[in-house]
Amino acid sequence: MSLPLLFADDRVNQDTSRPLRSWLRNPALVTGFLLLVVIVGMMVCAPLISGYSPNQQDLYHVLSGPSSAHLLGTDELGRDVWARLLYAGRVDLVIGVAAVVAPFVLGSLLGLVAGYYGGVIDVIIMRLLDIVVAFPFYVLVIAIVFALGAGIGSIFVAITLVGWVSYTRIVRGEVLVAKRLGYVQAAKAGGLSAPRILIRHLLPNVLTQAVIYAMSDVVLTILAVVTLGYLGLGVQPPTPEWGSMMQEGSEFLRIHPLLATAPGIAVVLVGLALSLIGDGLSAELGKS
Amino acid sequence: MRRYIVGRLAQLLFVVFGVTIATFSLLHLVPGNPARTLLGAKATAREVIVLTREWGLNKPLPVQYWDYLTRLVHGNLGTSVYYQSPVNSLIAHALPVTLAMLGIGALFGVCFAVPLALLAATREGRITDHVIRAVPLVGLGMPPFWVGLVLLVVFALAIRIFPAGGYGAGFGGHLDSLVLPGLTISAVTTPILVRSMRASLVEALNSEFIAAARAKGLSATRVLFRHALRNTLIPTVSVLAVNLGYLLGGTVVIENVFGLPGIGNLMLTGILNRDFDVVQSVTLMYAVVVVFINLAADLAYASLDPRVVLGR
Repeated sequence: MSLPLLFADDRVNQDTSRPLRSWLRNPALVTGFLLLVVIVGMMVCAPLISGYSPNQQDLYHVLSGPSSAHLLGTDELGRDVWARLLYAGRVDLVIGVAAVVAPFVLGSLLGLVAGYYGGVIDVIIMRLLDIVVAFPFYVLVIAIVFALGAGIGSIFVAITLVGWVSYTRIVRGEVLVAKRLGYVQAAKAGGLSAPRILIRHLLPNVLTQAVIYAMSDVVLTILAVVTLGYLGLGVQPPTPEWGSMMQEGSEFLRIHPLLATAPGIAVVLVGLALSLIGDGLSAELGKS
Repeated sequence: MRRYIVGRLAQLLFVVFGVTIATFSLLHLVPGNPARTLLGAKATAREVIVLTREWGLNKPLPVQYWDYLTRLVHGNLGTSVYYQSPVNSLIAHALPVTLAMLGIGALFGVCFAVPLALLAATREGRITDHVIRAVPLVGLGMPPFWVGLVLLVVFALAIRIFPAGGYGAGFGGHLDSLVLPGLTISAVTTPILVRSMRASLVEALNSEFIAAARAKGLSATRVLFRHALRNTLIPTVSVLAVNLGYLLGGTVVIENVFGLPGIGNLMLTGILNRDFDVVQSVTLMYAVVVVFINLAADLAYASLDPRVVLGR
């Protein structure tokens, strides 16, 4: 056996035994992760970086442009835009991530059950899904939040009621393939109970795609939270939030365009970081 | 083909039926009595009772739903409390604006996506390809309404070439005021289209019929445009149809940014004025539009690609 081949074999072994090393070599994953760490770090250290409180008004210096005292200027109440931007990020990111949990769990479970049992259960779940996807995502979310009344609680309910469908579709499709495979047949033949097969054997094997999707779903959810905020249906003022900041700023587009546009750049950066991580993850997890 | 269409229509009817149950339930998600919510805290108990009766909220739920369904079947979408006019005519005025905006947005999207996808696919694996493949990563993270705001700042306030809002007068005015909203929508459609078009172009360029066309001595441009590009048509239609719900939902906020009198703005003013019939009916209308455009897309496959045989 020649030396180069030995070397190559060695590398393959390393990659499978230590996935971390392969992950660290994935440029998308590393860039996305670093970007996210920087963004989250800045939000966590907001009091240290900005020097202003997000709701501290200064009515003598309203709508001022960027300066050494105020990095991005001040808004119509003289509040520091940079400080509000950082504190708003905490709100949007936390809601964006937290709001994905319920649809992820609910949707995956429904997909698991629909795919494994089939029959009437499958038909009921899938017809329910057909009805939900008939509505444009934003329209249904906006309508539900309107009916329940604006606020964070309503956002969680609306995103759960609308968001489960993607996970159900993904997991159901995976289960339909996996349940014909040997390990599931073996577990069945071994007399294991259905719940045990579902949770212990099927779930870990079908969840990868759902986890990858969850990454891009966080981006979509943050966009939805920001959009609801912009429409005045989301997080209520004076709590700083990117969407409501853009709404307030849109009245001053002519004299202070940064007010409405700066929060959007923050959203794009967060979205980019999460998309890169999602792309990297799907490349790495797709290997095995 | 005929059997397929009948089956598809039956499925469509079921979905529309389910959709009406969903929009009906919407009113009952409102905490407390919707009549009380509309009239506000100052209304007397008598006024609330009168409105509750008028809306039939005192009847059992199945009866209320039956009344709602009969009303819809008769083409009555309710009355706007705020505009004091039937919701039907409000929607009839607003829907064309939304559809025109959506059409222009899809058109812009295709105009941007085709050259980008061609560039990326013909330079597969090179720097141009990598840069273009990064477009969706940035593009899909942009809030659509934010793109609208940025375009407003640049093209309506800094360089005044397009109106800052409203729907203009006459056909030319309408078209003028739809350019920026259309561009905003294309910020959503372009990334989605580039991704799928590039993938199908790469696949087509590596296939045997392209090799045959090249071997025949056809020019590179002819191979690309006549043979390879045609194969991206179907994925393009299907990817637009699949994302239609997302696109259409995005128009709600875009209409708000540009002050366009479409059904999205109708819904938002309905929300602002707690105009339940308007919100309920517009929500229903959105779902109906999605369901029918999806049907149209399914039928379009068959005419675009003779290999597609429906219903087998």
